[in-house]
Amino acid sequence: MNASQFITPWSLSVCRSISPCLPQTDIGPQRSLVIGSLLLASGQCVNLSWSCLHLVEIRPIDQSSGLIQAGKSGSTVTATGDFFTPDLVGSLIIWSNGSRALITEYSSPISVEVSTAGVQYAAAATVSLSYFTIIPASPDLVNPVDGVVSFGVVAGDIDTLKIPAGKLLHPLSLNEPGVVALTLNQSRTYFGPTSLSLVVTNNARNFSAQVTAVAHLKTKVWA
Amino acid sequence: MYVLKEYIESIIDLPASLPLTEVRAADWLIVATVKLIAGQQLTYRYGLVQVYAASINGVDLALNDQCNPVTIRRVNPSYGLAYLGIAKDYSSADDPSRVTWQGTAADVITAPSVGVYTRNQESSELIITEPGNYSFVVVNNCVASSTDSGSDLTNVDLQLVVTAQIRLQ
Repeated sequence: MNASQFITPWSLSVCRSISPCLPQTDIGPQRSLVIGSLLLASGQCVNLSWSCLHLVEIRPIDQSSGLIQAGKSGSTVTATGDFFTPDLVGSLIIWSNGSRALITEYSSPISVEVSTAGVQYAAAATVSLSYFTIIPASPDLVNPVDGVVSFGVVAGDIDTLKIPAGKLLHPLSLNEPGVVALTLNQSRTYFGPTSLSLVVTNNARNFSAQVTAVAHLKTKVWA
Repeated sequence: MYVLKEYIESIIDLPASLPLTEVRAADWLIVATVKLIAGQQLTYRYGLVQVYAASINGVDLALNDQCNPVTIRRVNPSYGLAYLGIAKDYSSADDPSRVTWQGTAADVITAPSVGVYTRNQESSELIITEPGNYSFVVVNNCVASSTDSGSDLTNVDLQLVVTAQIRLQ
């Protein structure tokens, strides 16, 4: 054991703990939320020693058909203009009269195949042209690598209106409700001069996410 | 005894804080979640719940009703208007009235009326070592009802503040 292992009053005085906490919050599609920021001067460093992300719930965002209408004949739904995309397979289509069908197959931007088996308020065999809403079945991710929600560090200036919010450094990510944490042996150190922001990002285009997040950082002088 | 750098760096103090937030009747919020792995220890000592205001449809309750919770119907009669507890592996689908809160009665902070309430500092610390996900959950314990409940008040929304701290090591 040598003297460098002991805590001195000076070393304790330059060490600060910072712990941003985000209570359960709804983050909209393709939105980022900064839960804490700090500015590191030259010679300063910060150690992200622990962080935890809890994805509590995800909720689909209804997609309105706008000016486009669709009609149903048998198992085929045909729209008056380009609307459908392959990723809508598995989503629910709801007409203005409240009747519903499940999209089972993509045919073209104006046509899909549907099924009413097991669907509540099932649509009739024939539905005349009317406006509709789509309830997505699964998140459509901006960047499939990042998961539905991510929690990480952004170094430098940050534009919170854009997604992805810069590039998150060493993020925690989740694709479905659950909890993930950075453990002590995975701690990261960042060196000044720079600004750091702790950011939670919703990477989905069509789902909102309810999350909580906590992190722990320690600043100290390294030079 | 001496304090070593290695020991200091293994101690992580974390907040569980909720800024002034309106929580609707019978609703709840997760304030913070901590994932505890094997070999770690979570210590809980300090917590505070402030019920800042109580209202129905945006109108504050009369002062005598705010200070007299007997007139407000509660989901769980064992607790006050609001309470804060620690739950293990909590999900959004869990009904707080059926949750087994961690620790003893001293570790659930209950707010009987508008005011500030803290965990009793003289109570022993709550120490948790079993791995799992531990969430601070604050609950509005007032009944939400669409039918006439007689003379008792229902659908009371609460403005709440939570400040708590845990130590992870």
